[in-house]
Amino acid sequence: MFDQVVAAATDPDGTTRAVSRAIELARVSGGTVHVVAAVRRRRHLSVVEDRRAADPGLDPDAALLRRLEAMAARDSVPIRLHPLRSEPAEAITAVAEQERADLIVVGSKAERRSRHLSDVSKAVMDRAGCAVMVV
Amino acid sequence: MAIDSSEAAQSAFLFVTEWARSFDAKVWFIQLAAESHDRHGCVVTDFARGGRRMANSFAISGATRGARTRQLVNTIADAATTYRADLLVVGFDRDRMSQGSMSGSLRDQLYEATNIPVLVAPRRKAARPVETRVPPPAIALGPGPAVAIPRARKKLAHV
Repeated sequence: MFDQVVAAATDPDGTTRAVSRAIELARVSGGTVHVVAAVRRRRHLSVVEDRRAADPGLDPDAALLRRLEAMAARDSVPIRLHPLRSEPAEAITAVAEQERADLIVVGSKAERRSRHLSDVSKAVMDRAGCAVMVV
Repeated sequence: MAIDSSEAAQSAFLFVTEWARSFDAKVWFIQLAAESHDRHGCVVTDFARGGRRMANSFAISGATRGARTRQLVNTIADAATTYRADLLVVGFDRDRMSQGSMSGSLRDQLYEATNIPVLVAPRRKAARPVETRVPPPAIALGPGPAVAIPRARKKLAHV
């Protein structure tokens, strides 16, 4: 049923939940998971970002993506990473459209016992043509 | 699965049907059947009217949109709790989902009121194979209407 599942890597906590769920669904359906890690374009790069650019080992996003790859490998699910420098909701929906995704999985904020839809989740729900699951 | 009677509900229905078939899942529907602007807001379910064990259609009423949204959210959240749902699929009109009031839109409140994943059904309808009907071959029963039939001459009309 889910040949192409797009998982949104928005924040570390929500990303892990979203990618885990996406892997679970793709494993049952024999599909592929596309992880979209999008960060907003900034006008000025800070010194820290300059250092990250020079040494990818320091980049927490790269470390997170490597961890997600390992998660998918454990379940033998094909995974494709889409690290993009763009507005997150726009990037997620664009990749979903390009890959003809059946489902987008987005993690949202969970603080203690309450949880709230993030702006990215809302924007993805508004723009996406396929089903959107918020975990 | 919570739906109204919009086009989104139809695509949600198709989506959930396929989901249930693929994952061997049990689906329980709850449908918003009617909505009124009655000042004295309340939720009326077919459980209350018909004595069924579980409600699967309900009507809401309230003076403001916020009041009606709250009723909708509470009814769906109660149903999800009753059935120990693993997933809540929402097939409501997109405008209804995103229109906000002081306490947030329907999707905001639904997500906050439950602790299970919320799935918004696809905007487009699920692709269905197009049925191509091949007309059966015509049976020859004599000359068709396009074939000119010679008219009898007057003098042979009595034969």
